[in-house]
This record gives sequence, structure tokens and C-alpha cells, in this order.
Amino acid sequence: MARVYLDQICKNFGDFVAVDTLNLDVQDKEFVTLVGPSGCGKTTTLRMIAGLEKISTGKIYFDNDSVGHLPANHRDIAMVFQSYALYPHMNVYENIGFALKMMRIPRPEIERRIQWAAKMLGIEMLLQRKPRDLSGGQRQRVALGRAIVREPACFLLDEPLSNLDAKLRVSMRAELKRLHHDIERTFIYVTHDQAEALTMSDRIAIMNHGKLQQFGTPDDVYYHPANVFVAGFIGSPAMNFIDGDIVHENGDYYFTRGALRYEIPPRLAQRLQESGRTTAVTLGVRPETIGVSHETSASTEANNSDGILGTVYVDEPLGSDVFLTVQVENAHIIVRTDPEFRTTFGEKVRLTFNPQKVYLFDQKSGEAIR
Amino acid sequence: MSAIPAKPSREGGISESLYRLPIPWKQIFIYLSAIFAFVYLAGPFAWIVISSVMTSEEAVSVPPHWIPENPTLMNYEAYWNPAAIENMREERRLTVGGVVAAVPVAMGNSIIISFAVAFLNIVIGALSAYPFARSQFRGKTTLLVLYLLTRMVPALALILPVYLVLRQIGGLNQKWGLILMYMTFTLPYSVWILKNYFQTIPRDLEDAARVDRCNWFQAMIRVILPVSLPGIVAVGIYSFMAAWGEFLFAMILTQTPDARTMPVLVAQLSTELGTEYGFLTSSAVLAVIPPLVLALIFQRMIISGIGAGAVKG
Repeated sequence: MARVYLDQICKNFGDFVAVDTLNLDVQDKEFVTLVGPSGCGKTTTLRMIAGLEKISTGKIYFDNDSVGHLPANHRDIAMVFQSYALYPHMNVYENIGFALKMMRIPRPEIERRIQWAAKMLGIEMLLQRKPRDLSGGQRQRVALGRAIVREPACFLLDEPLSNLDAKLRVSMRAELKRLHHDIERTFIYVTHDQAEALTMSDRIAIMNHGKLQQFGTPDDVYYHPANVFVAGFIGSPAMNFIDGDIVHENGDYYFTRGALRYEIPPRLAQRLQESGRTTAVTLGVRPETIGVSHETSASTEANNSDGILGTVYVDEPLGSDVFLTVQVENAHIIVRTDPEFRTTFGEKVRLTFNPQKVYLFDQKSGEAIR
Repeated sequence: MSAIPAKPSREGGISESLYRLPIPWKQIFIYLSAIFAFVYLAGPFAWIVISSVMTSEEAVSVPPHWIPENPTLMNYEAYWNPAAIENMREERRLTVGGVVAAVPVAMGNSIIISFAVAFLNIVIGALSAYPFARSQFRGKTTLLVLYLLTRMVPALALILPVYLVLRQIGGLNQKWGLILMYMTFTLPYSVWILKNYFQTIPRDLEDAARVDRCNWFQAMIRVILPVSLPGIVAVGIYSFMAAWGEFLFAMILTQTPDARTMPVLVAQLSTELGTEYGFLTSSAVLAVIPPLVLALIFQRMIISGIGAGAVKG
């Protein structure tokens, strides 16, 4: 049982700052995902929690105990590695029981726990095999088994699914989530895949360049991104960003880019008014919130009551959806729409943005205006 | 029906083309080379084994022959039966008797010294190679190159200083003196071999062991070393062989039979007074047995891909 609390953690490799003043409070039994592009410091953070990497400055607490000075073998954690890191000279049984043996747990108890873990993961028939005789998915399970038999305070998982093929990854994703539910432990999970983060986590910590960008529930980070980075990173296909300016006319606020003109919804207009901001902004719209219709009139007006005029650049049918790339004022906007909506390249379409679901970001700082 | 024209059949058909199979020159060349290499390598050895079961006279008889006329173990018997030396003609007993009587001791010396060198190379080599493989520190590359540079000095240039130093510290005519000497020229290579081997072992394995409640030493003993077994065996065999076959230092640094090794003793069977082909060959055969046995035991370990499956391939 453990709450994991990172207090002002920094990690430098020479002049390079891998993790920059990170604060993170992971509650007991919570499933928290650290997500971000490669090199964002998420794995380094996990390794610091594990005790495999020294902290440059800051403190790590498990419950109320400061553990920053303890080596990995004195922290009550289990870790699943991206490479699985199974011991090649031991069979599955020995692999799973290794930590228990090191902890000097009585043999019958080791036996009981290994059987329990093997049953839970469906690998009972593999116990006598060596890692080299296992498939990727089986090795994955053994690596998980090695972690769960420990019954540790906290599980650390470093991209455990990234070496699996796409289909297996999706099914293991669900199983991991179920496993977390069943064994009721703290999970800290590292991935670069935002879909994994969204589907599995209680809360998501999004990192970039060693800095925490946002820490919140999946809904939070999806619907209320703190900045352009989070907005662009979470969600697939990614949010559309259009750079432009704010124009204030007759009490109304408009977003403009060339001939494109879009009335800022009252909610955001109020924020702009409060801050008196007229600087360069970025408009953000998620592909799935954009409405699209065929242009029926011969009008060449960029904006009318039917929406914003654009030209179909490319369409990508996916079966369940169609991704439509529409060119508007030399910006590309991706729209996710029904498979019934068929277009041809170069066709004129009208786009409508849901006023409840558009975002504005300060172009300079990238922070959300909300 | 089909508009596609039939393929024009080649003249002669299948039966004739069978006779025109090209001569497999490549295969022939490869096999001939292999046979030549085998004879070249194994021939002298076979001759030694055969000669060792001949009498000295037969071994040097002209024309030489491969099949012994009267196979005998008398060349071996003298090693464990002192009576056989007693029964020698007197002048022969005086020239080679002492040498032959010293063979069992020399064999023991060689085995002790070579195993000690192999063992120390593995232990010291592994402990020193690991930091080179895993951590970054100032002067790392320089130090590694320096290790190798010590091997670039010709042995002959070292003999006098080594002799003087060993005499000073009482290491002449001592097994430990030879062990010390052999360590100096095997350890640099061992460190290199093990460093390279350790670098092939995923770091995650060590980390996994640490997380699985091992301290550094336990991680080394229980995970890193077992996984490195092929590299360790390679170092063990290499340093064993280097110590086993070394002649120059063994000859200079030992004047009494106490620490004398097999190569020195075998050489003493060929003196100004004549060469004892019978004992020379039989002791040579004896000298081959330990390394041969070692190689046979460990060959599977060397080639077995023990590292496979550790991480996703």
C-alpha cells in the first residue's frame, strides 16, 4: 500500500536537464501514467522512483518515508521492463520466484504465490520453459508475473506493451487494467502512446522536455488541455491548430486568418475581454468535433452561416470513420466524420466548429486561454 | 484454346542435361582444403601419439612408419613406476632418469598453476571489466589502451627485470611466482574480452535483479555472471592455455623441480646427449590431455547461445 510522492525532483546528466522540478502525487492504489514523446524524462522519472537512477535534487516519499537515498533493492517496488529483462538462464518458475527467493520467503509460500500468479496470467503450462522458448506475449506475461508475486507497494511499468504486435497490445492493455483492479496496488506506468494512457489510467501526467505539462484525469487532459502541447499530444488524430489573430469588433471577438473569420464563442470571448488580450493566438479544434457538409451553393464566401469553406485535400476511409484533410486558408484541418460522407479530392466542403469545443491558446506561451 | 504459345522445348530434354551437370569445382576445392588443413594440423599430433607407443629406436627408424610393430606402454610406465627407471641402463638413467621421475610433479605444477591463472583471470578480470563495460569515468579509454600496451613489450625485454623483481620478493622457483608472471600477460586480454562480453548483456537484466531485491554483489553472482558464462569460459580457457603452454618464463624463473612446468620438462628430454623420443612424445601426449579435456567439457557452453531470449530479439 503506498502513496508515491515526488517533491521537486530534478535529474541532470551533465548539462542536460532530463527531469526539471517535477512534483507528482500518486495516491495509494491509483493507476497513474507518465506519457510524453521520447526523451521527455518519463523513463528517467520511473527509474528514479525505482532507485535505479540517482536523484540530482528533490525528494521521493513512499507514504511518509523518504526513500530517495535507498537503493532499488531496499524499496518495496516491482518493475516491468520494456525489454522484459527475463533471466535467460532460469526457467519461468525460477524467474517468477527469484525475488521471493532473495527475500528469503519460505519455499511453500513461494510455490503458492508462483502458482497463483501463473494462474492469474494463464501461464501455468509454461513454468518449466526457458525465456528463449517463449513468444513475445508469453515473455510479457512472465515479466508481469515476476512483478505481481512480489505483492509490492508499488508497480512500475516501463512501456511494457511496446514490443508486442498491435493486436496483442490492445488485448494486454485491457488485461493490465483488469489486473490493476484485481490486485489493488499503486501502478505507475510509462508509455509514449496516448491511447494507452487514456484507456488505462486514473490520472495521466503528461511530460515534455523534462517538465510536467499537466497532471489530471483522462477527461481532464482531453477536454481541458493546459497548453498546446497537451492538446496536440492527447487525442488521435491530433487536435487541429490554426494560428491567427484576435479582432475585436462591435463588442464581439473574432478569430481571423486571411479570409477566414470565426466568431469566438461567448465563454472564451469573456476570458479575452477580462484579460484584454488581442495577441496572436492559436485556435484548436478536435477532428471529431468538426461538422462537415458538401458545399451546395456556388458561393465562394469563406465564411457564411453554413460554415467555413474548404477544399478536400485527401480522404482516408478507416471503415468505422473517415479522416478528411481539408485545406482552409493554406492550413490543413483534419476532420473525423462518418464513413457515409464521401468526397472527391478538390471538392468544396463547409466546416462547422462546435462552439463548446473550440480551444484558444496563446501563440507565444502555448498556454490555454480558459 | 490458349493463345499463349507453347514454350519452345530445349533440345536434348531432361535426360541429356543430366549428363551435363557442371563439375562442382567449388565443393571439390573446399573439401580438398579441409582435408589439407586437417592433415596439416592433426598430422604432427598423430605422429606424436603413435611414436609414444613405440620404442625410441623404432620411433626414429628409417624409413619412418605409421603403424607400430610392437606397441608398448613402456614410455608411460616410467611416470608412475619408479622401478622402470631403476631398470634403465645406467648412462640413460643418469641423463633422463631424473627428468622422467619429475614428470608427475611437473604435471601437478602445470595443473595447479594453470587452474590458478584461469581462476584468478576470471575473478579479477570480471571484477575489473564490469566497471569498464558499465560506467563512464575519466581516463577509461586511456586505461584500457594502457592495459593492451603492456602486452606490446616483447617478452625477452621483460625477462631480466622480472627475474630481478621476483628474486627480490622471493618468487623464484615458486608456483606463485609463475602465477604472478602469467597473470600480468593474460589479465589485460581477459579484461578486454569480458568488457566486450558484458557490454552485450542488456543493462535491464542487472536492473531487474536490483529491483528483485539483489544487492550489487548478488546481482553479479546470480544474474550477470551466469549469463556471461560463455565469455567467462572463453577467458578461463584462454588463460589456462596461455599458462599451460608457456615456456620461456617457466624455464628462466624455475631452476628446481618444485615449480617446473611440463613445457620445461619436455624440453629437457632433448639434450646435447641425445633426444629421448619415447619419453618426449609420451610426455607431450600427457601434456595435451588436460587442455583437451577442458575444451571438450566446455565447447558446448562456449557455443550455446545462452543469451538468447533475455530480451525481445
